[in-house]
Amino acid sequence: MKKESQSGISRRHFLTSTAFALAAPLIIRASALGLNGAVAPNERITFGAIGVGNRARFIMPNFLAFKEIQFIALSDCRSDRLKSGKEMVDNHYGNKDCKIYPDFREMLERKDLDAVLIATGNRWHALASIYAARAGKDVYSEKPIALTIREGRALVEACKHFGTIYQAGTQRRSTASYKFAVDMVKQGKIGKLHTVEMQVWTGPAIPHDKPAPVPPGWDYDMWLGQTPWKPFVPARVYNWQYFFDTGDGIMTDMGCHYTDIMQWALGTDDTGPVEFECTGEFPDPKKYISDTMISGVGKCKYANGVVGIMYQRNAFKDRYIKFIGDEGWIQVDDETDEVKAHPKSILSLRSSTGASWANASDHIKNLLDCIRSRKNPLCHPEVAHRANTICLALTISARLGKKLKWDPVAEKFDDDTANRMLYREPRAPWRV
Amino acid sequence: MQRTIKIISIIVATFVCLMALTLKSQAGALDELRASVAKAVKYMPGDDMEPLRQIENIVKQYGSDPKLKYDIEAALAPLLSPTSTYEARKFGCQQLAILGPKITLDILAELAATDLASGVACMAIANSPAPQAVTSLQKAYSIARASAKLQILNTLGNFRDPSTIEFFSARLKENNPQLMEASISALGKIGSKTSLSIIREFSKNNPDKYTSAITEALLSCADKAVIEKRFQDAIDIYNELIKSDRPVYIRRAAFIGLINTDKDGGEARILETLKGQDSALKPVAIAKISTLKGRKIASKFAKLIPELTPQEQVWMVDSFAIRGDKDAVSVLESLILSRDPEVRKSSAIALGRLGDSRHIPLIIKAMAETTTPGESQFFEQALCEIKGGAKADSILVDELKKSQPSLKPRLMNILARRGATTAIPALLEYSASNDPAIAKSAFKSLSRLCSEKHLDQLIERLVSLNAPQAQAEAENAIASIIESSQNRSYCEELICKKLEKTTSPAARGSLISLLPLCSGQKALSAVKTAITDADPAVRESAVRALADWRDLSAYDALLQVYEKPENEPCRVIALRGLVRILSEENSKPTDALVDKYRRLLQSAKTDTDCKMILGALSSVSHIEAMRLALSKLNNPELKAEVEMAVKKIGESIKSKYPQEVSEALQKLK
Repeated sequence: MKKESQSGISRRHFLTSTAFALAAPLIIRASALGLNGAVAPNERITFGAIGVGNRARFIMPNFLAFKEIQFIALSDCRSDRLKSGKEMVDNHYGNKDCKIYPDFREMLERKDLDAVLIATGNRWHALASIYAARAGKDVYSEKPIALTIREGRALVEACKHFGTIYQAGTQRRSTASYKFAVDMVKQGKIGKLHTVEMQVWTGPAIPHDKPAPVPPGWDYDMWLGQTPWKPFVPARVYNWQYFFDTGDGIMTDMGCHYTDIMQWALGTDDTGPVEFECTGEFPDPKKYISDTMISGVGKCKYANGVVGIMYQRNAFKDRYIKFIGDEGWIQVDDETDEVKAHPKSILSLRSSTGASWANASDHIKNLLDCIRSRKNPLCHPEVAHRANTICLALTISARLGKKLKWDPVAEKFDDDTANRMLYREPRAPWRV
Repeated sequence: MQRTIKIISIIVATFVCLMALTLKSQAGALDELRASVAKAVKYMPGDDMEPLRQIENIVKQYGSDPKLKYDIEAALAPLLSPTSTYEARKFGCQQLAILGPKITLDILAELAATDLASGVACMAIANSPAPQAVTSLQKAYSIARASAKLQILNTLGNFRDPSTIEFFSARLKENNPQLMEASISALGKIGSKTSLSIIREFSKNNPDKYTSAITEALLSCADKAVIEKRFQDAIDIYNELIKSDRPVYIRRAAFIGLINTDKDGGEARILETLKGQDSALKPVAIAKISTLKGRKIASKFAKLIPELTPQEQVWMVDSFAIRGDKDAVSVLESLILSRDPEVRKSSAIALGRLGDSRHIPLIIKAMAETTTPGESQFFEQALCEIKGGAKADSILVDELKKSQPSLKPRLMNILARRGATTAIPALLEYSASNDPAIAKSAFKSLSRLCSEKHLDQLIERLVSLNAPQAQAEAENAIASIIESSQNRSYCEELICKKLEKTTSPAARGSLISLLPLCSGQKALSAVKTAITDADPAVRESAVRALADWRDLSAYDALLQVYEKPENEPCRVIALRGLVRILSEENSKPTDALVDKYRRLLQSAKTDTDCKMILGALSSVSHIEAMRLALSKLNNPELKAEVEMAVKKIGESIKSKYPQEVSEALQKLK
């Protein structure tokens, strides 16, 4: 122990400099320093947040609960959010040290920054992750990880390129209830799996609205990011999830959580289904300006015959995933985190419970472990990209009103029109 | 023959009709498209979007039809006109992106040169299948404004077209940092030998400038070189980037690149790194062990473990676990007995996932050496997860029998967590143990594994306990079976029969305590009989059982105990039971129910009794209930409870009895 602390190399130094190449060991356990759980400054992993809106506020307390994490910087294109975000972080640490940046690129230039939490709107997830990877930062990004399938692939390549440790915010993979359900499926407790049902809720339709002045304190051009320029229309901006330019509706926004779990259970994390068919109801263009599905049913089929069915219907609280086999079924109700099964005896095999998905601590811990060990986290880019691809492919099928065959190796449809929906060129200056 | 000719004529006629209909509907669609475009050119946010949706539908429906595609493209062109609104132009570009433009490329190129619409125009051009897309972008560049130039370079770069190398090379002399970076990036994406030499030359002439863009471009060139099997080019790039003056993340990226180009898959390089002192690369080297190809990889690297820090050892174990091959498993078998607790723990987790029934004795041996419950839980988890089904369960049972007493509770818990029903006979034996810890654990495990068919055996164990400290666990095990049973009368029958034959007061008390779960007539009369049992403990058990009864059927018997109690504890237990039973009837407020509460209040002996009764009464939405509560207002000790009850009842009945409620509330003042 004594030897470790004497020759210890700071984590800060490890992450930002190469001058210590002759020194060892690399990581010193906090306990070795006799800190009784407190974390030495050189053990800290510094974080910055890109986007400090509602989602960031929901998940940041989970990050801040880790003593080894220190948030040193925040960026957002809205000054009101920057101000309140800084207040939150400064209050947590009891100082005024957190720096704020209207442009995240400036924040990424900081050499003392190890990693970023990306909790922006969906249009920014992949691009901000790619820029972070280019700057040598590790990443925790909210889902859905990309706006298009090719953008997702570009993210995977960028992380491979730079050896980035990337964790997608599909935290149900670290949630006890989902882990149990997947274990039971893998152990054959429901027999041979043939169907996976997933349910997200009915989406809204947003009424027509007219352009308005950009509110003070907003960098609207930055808000738009890579998406096509367009005037500030409040209904479009405040409901960005329900517009094809900036989101892809509920089926992708939330569906990727469940497709992630489906892929996990099927052991298809590096591939995916071979067929997609989705039908849905879109908003009435006479009344509504939004253009993503309100409700619908999407089906995907794997090469081994397993079928995934995503329902977009009912209320928010009714979301679930259900694995159906030839000898039984197991279901996780997302709202309550309750696991149901048939036969019921399956439930007696559950030995441990844990926090629900609302607490992402285990998922964050997995990222922190991997930042140190340079191993792939649970939801590394390839995993997240494949789960996201299923949702995006389903919505493309719904938009085209066609059943589509998919080659998961070449990542191409059997339809030229659909293939042209795999990618959208970003607006400059943004570049994948 | 004649019939065949007839069928063929019908098919031909149908085909001709269908063709005619299709042509007609296609022509109609084009007309509809032109009409919708005429409306859409004026679109502004807030307007009806129907024309836009109609256009989308036609593009989706007919866009793949080679005969109609160009007609559709031509029909969309007015959307791009300078007289159209910006929103219309944006929409038009998006539709052309889906269509894959060819004949509108020149118009799109003009649009790409403008400020605002450059992005959407390039979005459309990027999806063009025509070779002219590349030249049209270059032409657009020559007339573009500054911000549009960057857009054009980015889009053109994504074509990765070697014919554009010269174009991008020329941009490096324009002395505009943004455009230069975009051009470097584009040259990197092309990644040919020529573009690589241009990037190198630029880097040489611009030391310490554009480092991020140059590094990324070099990494892209290296990737491309690997794909094209120009390995030496890739190695040269990676060797340049791994130098110690480079940022750590670039060195790591280059290290991974070098491993990927190594003929041995990186084995020698990883070994060398682990023996060396480059701490920045060691974690990456350890992580890459997980994907190394070859045999006996884990054995080779396991030899280095003693030289690694404990943290690195754990990472190494994780890498072996990810490999999961036979060799890795055999290395894990040795590491599970390591002196370092973290290594033992990681090895146990890994063996739990990768091992099989053969590993059970080894994991149990390692578990026996753990010193804290925190450490032991990882070994227990491994034993719960280990594959092997019934065979693994059977080995665990054998190990249970052989194990020292201190291990038995943990092993029994593991069998329960595995759902090992084959362990039930052994567990029933252990439930008769004299050792309280063993007997308790056995009952706990049995409660998770047993079903109705084991009920008689469990009852037998309960009445013949050798470790009386395990009585609660035994009762709980039986209770959980009754609660999940579909046949409560069968359970009732078994317990009542046993009760008749059992003489030990403790056992009789236990059996009586289980009867409320059955709640049948036979069970109730057995409990009523037990109220007069010779043994006071049995009598008290009977009162408690009545108080726990699940329906009104126990009410009269309980009331009798309450009004003529054997002792004060029995009276209090009975009152609690009565109040609970009555409150379950509160949703059906009747005069009879209020009378029952009245009788309880009349027989109450203490203010505490009254408080309890008033608390339940407050949920009875009945005028008489309010009056009954109000009748206790003159007792100052009960004032708070009376007020609460009157207010609560009053709120629920005020619409029906406004006057009475108002008067009652006045009295409270």
